[in-house]
Amino acid sequence: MTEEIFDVKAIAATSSLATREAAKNLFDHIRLNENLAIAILDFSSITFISRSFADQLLKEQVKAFNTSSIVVQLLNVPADVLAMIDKVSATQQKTGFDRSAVPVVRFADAETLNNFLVSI
Amino acid sequence: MNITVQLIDNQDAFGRPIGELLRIIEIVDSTDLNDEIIIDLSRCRFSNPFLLGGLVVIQKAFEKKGYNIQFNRNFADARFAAYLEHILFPRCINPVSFADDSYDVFFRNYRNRNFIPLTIYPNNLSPDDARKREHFITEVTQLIINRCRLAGDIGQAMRYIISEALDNIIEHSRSEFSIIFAQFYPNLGYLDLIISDCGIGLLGSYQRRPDLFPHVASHTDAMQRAIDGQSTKGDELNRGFGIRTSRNMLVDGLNGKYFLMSGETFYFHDRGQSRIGTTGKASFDGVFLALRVPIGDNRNFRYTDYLE
Repeated sequence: MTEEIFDVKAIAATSSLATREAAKNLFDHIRLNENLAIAILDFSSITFISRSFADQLLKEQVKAFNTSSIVVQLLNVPADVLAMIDKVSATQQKTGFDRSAVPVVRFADAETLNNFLVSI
Repeated sequence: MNITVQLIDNQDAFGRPIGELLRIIEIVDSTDLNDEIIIDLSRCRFSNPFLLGGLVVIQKAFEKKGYNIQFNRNFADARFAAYLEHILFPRCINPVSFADDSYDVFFRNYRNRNFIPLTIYPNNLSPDDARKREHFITEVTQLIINRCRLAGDIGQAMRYIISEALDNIIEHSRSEFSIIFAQFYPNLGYLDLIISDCGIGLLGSYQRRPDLFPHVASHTDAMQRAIDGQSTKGDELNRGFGIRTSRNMLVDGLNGKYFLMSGETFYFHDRGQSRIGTTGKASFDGVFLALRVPIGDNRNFRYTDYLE
């Protein structure tokens, strides 16, 4: 099983992601890697994502999973960015777009994981 | 070398006891097989069912691998010691050990308690013992429903959620047992329920069917398929609804919390968020289901609205 970390800011060349196109380009970049099982998207230094970007990100995640069995995990996601992804994910599931459009979060360390668990 | 894990847990946060459980799994997993491991509950004044039920399962899971895990029973708090006696921690009650006509006597002791006993259901039973198990599942579920006064549709939802979770373990887990444990908090208005096993987990279950799922390689992948309702039995028309329907009833219908963990992956869903996460170095052998069921005003909940 191969996994690779993708630096979202480096690939998009910006810390603020506004368009669907940016999400599509990110996944085009991911798909260049053959035999990839887990794609870890590192959101370090990303300060903003739009609703459009989040919507397309989740759609691309579902597409990568359904067509290539690539599991997409999110790493170092700032709270505001994750909140946007959560909102869009909830809407997608409610409208029945695809039930697997659930963000997969990879916690950077045990403390971050524990902080999440304490918060729920 | 003895390793003592200190447990102090007097808060009712949903995820905190699960975090403690993961911390203990990580410590045990890094311990040499020949070491005696003592899990020390002596300083506890309270503990959540997710932690106590989880400890029973990980004790059995690690014992299967050859570890020797014991619990320190020199308690500072006599009431907590008595509580552990009442819930039968860590030995559990096994329905197969009962004569058919002795159930009533046993359950009478729990009618006015805010908990059910830690119950272990063996798998791979003879038809007679399987009938006992079925009877016991009914009694334990009814105990929860009566104690929490879950009338009508909410009671039906509890029956659905518990039976689906236990049936999944019997059908898919290849575990030697399943456990169920619940604690009711009348002042806080909710019930915490854990159902767990130490079998092959979601990933193992999918990997047993390479004809249907040839590319499932990670716990995350398996979790996504499970919550999406992809059945390892291959009959998509009539299977695969259990997890999804239970989750929808609990979260959308009753405003509860749903936490499912297997291997190095968990799934958490409440009305605010839905997410899969990775547990780092701690890996749970089998499946761990933790549910918080609000016992409030759910008069508008209709059980049949959630059936698929």
